[in-house]
Amino acid sequence: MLEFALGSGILVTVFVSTFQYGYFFYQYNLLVNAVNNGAHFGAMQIYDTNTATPTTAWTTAVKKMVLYGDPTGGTSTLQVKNLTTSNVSVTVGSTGSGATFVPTSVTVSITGYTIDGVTGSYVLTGKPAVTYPFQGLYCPDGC
Amino acid sequence: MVLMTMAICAIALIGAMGLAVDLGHIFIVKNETQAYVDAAAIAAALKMDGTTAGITRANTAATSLSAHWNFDSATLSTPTVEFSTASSGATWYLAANVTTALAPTMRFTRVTKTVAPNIYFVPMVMPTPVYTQNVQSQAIAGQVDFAANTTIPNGLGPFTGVTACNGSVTACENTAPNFGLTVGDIYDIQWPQYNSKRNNCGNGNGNGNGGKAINCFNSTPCPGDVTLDNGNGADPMQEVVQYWGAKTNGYWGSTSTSDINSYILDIQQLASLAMGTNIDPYLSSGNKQGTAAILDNRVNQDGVNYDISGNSGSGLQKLTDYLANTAHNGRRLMPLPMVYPNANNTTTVVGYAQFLLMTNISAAGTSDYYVKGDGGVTSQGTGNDPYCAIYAGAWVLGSTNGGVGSTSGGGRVRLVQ
Repeated sequence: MLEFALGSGILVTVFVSTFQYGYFFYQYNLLVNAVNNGAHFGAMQIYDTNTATPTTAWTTAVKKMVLYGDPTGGTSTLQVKNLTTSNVSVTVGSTGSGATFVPTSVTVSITGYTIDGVTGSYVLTGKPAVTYPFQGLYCPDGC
Repeated sequence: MVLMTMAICAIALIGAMGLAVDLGHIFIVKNETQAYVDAAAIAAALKMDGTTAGITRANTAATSLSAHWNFDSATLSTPTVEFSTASSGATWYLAANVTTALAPTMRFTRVTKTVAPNIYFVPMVMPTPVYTQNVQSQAIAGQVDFAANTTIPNGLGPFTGVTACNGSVTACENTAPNFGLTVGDIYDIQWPQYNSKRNNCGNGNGNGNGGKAINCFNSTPCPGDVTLDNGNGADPMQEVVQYWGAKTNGYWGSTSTSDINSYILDIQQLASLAMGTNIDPYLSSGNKQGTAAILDNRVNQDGVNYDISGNSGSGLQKLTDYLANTAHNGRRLMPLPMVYPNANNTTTVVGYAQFLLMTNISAAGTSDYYVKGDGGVTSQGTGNDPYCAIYAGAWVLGSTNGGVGSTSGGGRVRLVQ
């Protein structure tokens, strides 16, 4: 009985921590894939404004790509549990300003997303992040 | 006894669970570096333009991209970048080994990055422990040609490049990706005003009676087309005179001033095009007063809206200087359909090309080249003047330079592995 008590104490701790690590890794891996998809998609989209702040429609499409793997998604299943658009940050890298503004890259990162666990939780801030060079059409006056 | 059994089992269990943790870690690292090499391969493939300078820029684009790995805690940079003619089965060359002869054939780029994450549990059960595990990620991206039936809904400017090929559309297609033009030469993207009444225009189409096509315009066409003019019907000028005449000069955008911005600045198209499309119904004589200022606006949206070699520099010199200047942002480049006027009312799209718009300043300032006609190359402008531009090679969607080109002269960068 004593042995079981001692042994189970250690085993439970080991099992729980392994689960915790495994779950964290699993969620993080899903997030890496999701931001990768979103950034790649954003880099190929038509960019239709001449500032580093993209239009709402553009940002929404990229965020939906991250959330659902589909830029028009909304009813389909979330790729990562509890991920919301507010957790997805989209940044457009650029050169020039005003008339000479041109988008050069698209970065998608995860901010404020909490990965839950049995013994605690971990909040991801600014990671994972993926950057792709912009390769879409640039349409400064709006398309 | 139970305790001993449990202790032994526990070691095995911890080992197995440790394996799960280490492997999970390795998978994450693999995914992070894979995303990085994917992006780096695309960055490099966007820069290849058939020259060794382009290969160097491609190498720089990939190696200067940075990202993070190991849960975003370590920096990823300086991957191995190689170039090849095909995505598989061909030799891969480092940038330094790509010769001038090889450069025009390099269409694919392979980016490889190896990182070595620490492993913690697996070494415990190794006879000779190793505390890191190499993880290699690799991506291949290339300039993939637009297939003949690919429809282009937008992305092409409202002007045209006229091919220099003889006889048939098929013969013309076989001269891709440059369609008889020379990179760095200056060609008409909109032709000067046609006038059949001018002396020595012959019978109105440049042929016969001692006439020459070059005499049928109110203003001299751009130098590249003058060079190509051989008077035997195998050059752009002859075909333009013969089949376009007074009807059109190569413009195919809207003539409404309010729409011209979207055609020139946003490269929206009057109609979708594909190879083989007859563009003739969309061609018009255009609205030069409207388009000239907008073309200059497009030039002035570029960080390099000037030619450091000045007006007297050659087209090739201007193109080389432009591409070498890291401040250029691609706005001066305009992708255009390459067309072949092969009969009355038939002008076939045979491919695509990138053209560098002209400027008349040699340092930062505001260019008004197109408003002033041809900026003083041959005359000081009137509505009769041509719009000239420097042929920059094949078009790659989203690129800020020319491309390598293949059968259509146009393409996009894709990850192929």
